[in-house]
Amino acid sequence: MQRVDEGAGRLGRFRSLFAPLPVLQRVEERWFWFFIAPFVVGFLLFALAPLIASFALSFMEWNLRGTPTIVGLDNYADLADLDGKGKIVLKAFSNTVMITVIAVPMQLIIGLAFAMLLNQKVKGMALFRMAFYLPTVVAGVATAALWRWILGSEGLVNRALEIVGVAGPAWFNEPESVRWGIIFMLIWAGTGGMTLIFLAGLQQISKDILEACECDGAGRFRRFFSITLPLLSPTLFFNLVIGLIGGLSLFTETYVVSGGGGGPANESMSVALLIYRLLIRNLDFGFGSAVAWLLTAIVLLLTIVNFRLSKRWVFYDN
Amino acid sequence: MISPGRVAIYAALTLFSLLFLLPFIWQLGTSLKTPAEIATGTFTLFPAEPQWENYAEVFRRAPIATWFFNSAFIAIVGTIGATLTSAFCAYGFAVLHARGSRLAFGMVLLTILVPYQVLIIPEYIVWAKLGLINTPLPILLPWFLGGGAFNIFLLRQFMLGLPRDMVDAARVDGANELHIFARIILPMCAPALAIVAVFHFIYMWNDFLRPLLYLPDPSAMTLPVGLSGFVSKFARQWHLLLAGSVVALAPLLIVFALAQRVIARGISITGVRR
Repeated sequence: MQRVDEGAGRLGRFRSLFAPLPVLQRVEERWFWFFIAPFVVGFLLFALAPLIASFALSFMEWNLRGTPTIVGLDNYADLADLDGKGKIVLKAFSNTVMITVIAVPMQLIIGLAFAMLLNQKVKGMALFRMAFYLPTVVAGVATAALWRWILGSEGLVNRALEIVGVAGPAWFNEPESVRWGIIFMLIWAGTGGMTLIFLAGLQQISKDILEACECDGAGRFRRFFSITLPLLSPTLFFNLVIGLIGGLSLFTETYVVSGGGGGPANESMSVALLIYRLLIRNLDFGFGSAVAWLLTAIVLLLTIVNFRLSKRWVFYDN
Repeated sequence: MISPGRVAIYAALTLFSLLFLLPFIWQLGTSLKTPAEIATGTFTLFPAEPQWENYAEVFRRAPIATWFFNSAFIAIVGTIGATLTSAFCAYGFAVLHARGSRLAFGMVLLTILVPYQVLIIPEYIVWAKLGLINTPLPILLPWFLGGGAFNIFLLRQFMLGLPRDMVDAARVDGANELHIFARIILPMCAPALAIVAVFHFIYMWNDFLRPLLYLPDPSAMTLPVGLSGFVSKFARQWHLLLAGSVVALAPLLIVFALAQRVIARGISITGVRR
């Protein structure tokens, strides 16, 4: 600790406790907090406070009209009651996980393959790049509506299937196919964004290493698995983490496809849609908060596991 | 010389590009067909005779113009707020030194990991109690307070790459930090600000859950929320549903076409980050 005022006696020493930094630094610190003040306020009001409030709400019962009553662990007991209230929660989680676990790896694999294609010094690359990225830019209600039509009972896909003699389902109206329709939609919409991030990662890899490797007689596959993939692992990791969080918070697509109901037979109910319905339709704030906290816990746990595991396979060259 | 390998690459790229683009072209074509023509089930991309009347009918049967205006207002104001505040905060993280800076930045990154969906119940209750449902405030205010973790992150990275000499020189000249931010750093950040603005505009135009929660009244709705109601309202009237979605997509396609370079640059910057 530095003294501000050397030899100023007792008062000076007392002061130095509260002014441990040189004046200039102190001023800079004040400016720092001034500049990040909007974030701090936003973080407290719109992240930390709701997070704590929903934790508190998960131990209460409330429907906006009366006063909240504390019910202890009742909501969590309801979650575990798989024949009662917990049934739909389990369904929502298993749907969401199934969709995420299939869609995200597909997005990663296809995205990487496309990025490798685009990285081949192709003429008109900018044009292809934009074509691949367009579905990601417009992903939302309008494209979900488009897919509802393409995968409708008389839609494009089924007409194509008809030609080869297969009668396709009304994808979004039948319990067996609705999730596959959503997965299809997510792959179409999400791959482009990942492609471009992979491409940016690929372009960071120095050509020298790959050429040196080629001179040493390494084949195409050897080069990909021994050089490209390890060097690309941070990008892969980034896409994986963001993709998983996005997948687990799936909402818009299921809402549009099912008209907000999560049907047919709850087969397209996602966790986020369930939380929305518990809030808006059922006004079941306590139980909804318990579901929300379960989702938070799972997302955070998954991210921690991901970061832990990443030490084994993600290679940072700096 | 064109090798067979290169031909294969171009063929693959063209095929996949079409796979991505065809649905849009087909959507545009079908939105201009008569219901009878759609029902025949032929694979024609374009209508025998374009039915511009479909669009007029959609505008007649739903307040699309109002929704469009609401969407534009929210997306534009939200984008201005997010771009300016995130630049403001990024300046603190990139240029100024302070104890607790790393911790605070950790909080920024942490907000990426918390899905918005888990925060909606308490947030909604508070806004409802304040009587602010059907006003744009619940959607816009958060973007004026912090401007989003991704945006802060991107702008901080960019500012860290700027030469520090000018900041130091300005300080020696007695300029205060607000002045340095507004007059020196902000102009130098123009390319990065453009990236943030374009991406945030797209994000806000597509945003669905927040407007669905906070703007339920038909006169306050945004276009995506209004459009989501079409799915049941025009369940079998594909020509109207698709015409409506073309209207919703149009601004994005225009932004996409105009800001292509900004978007491409933005992706290479965001992709490099760790």
